Amino acid sequence: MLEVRNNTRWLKAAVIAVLLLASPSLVKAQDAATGTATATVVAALQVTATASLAFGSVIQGVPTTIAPTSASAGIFNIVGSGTLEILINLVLPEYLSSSSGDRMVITFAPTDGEFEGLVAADGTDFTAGSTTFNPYTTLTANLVANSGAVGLGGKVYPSENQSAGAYTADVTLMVSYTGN
Amino acid sequence: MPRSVFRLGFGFLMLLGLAMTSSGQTITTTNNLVFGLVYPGQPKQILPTAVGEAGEWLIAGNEGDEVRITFTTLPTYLNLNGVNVSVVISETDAALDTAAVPNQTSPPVSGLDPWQPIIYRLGANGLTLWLGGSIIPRQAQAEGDYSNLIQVQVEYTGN
Repeated sequence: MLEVRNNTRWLKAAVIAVLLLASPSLVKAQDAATGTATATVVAALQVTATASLAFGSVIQGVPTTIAPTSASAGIFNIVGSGTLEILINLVLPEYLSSSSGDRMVITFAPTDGEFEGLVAADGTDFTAGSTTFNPYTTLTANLVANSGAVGLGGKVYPSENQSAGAYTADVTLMVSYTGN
Repeated sequence: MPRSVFRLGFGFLMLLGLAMTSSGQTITTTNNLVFGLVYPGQPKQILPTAVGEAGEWLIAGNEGDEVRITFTTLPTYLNLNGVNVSVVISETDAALDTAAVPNQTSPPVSGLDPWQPIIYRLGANGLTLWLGGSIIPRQAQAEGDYSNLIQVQVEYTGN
């Protein structure tokens, strides 16, 4: 009888010991970690046509040329993020039209596009570090300090019997990030 | 019953207890899920095989232990000052490897569903878990650094 009582004590002690020893394992058997998902969204590109390609008054039968660095060149300002790389595409017209439907041919030379990776204060300064490009091709360039500017020149060919009046056409500039 | 039997039982239980204490698992975040630069209007996907970009967790424990891995928090968006950008964690965006030298670019176990518990046995070097995902910024998404938490829990199944 006495032995049974002692054995019971041993059993109780054993159970307590196991519980004490096992309890840390119950905690250690589960663990958790926290990570983070992160992303940096860059500024959306914004393009503004700040100046039209203006040929002014042209004379019948006399072609007129405007250089892309001229004060009369078309200017587009681009605002984006940092120095990221962008693609620049121009959609160019083949002629200007008058309100009465008359047309005047316009052409763009391979040197009629100018890009500078920083918008100058007046938006027209393409003298420092600018890049000449063919406006019919896609230009890959980098913004500078969140901005860039595109200048566009061209040439119109008024015919000998070109009707007098104002002629216009749309020039569209499209820009997108390359991801670089 | 002889006292020696009880002592033997006590010793066995002590060993059992010691064995249980040695079976704990730990999990450590070794890489965050990094989408990097994201362009407005352009969705971007990070595969679990993308080194340095996919989320990565290292689970350490005893070789052969079966563990249940649960992503207790998976983001559906990242946030910046109350502005959200959508994130999609798909049903195949998790992968793992139990090799001593984990091969993230070609993991032996891929296409796992992180929305469901993942049950697997630890290898000699534990287990490495990867998580990919996609981010879908709006065209007019405000610029800035967005983030959100991912929480992973690991527990011993007892098997």
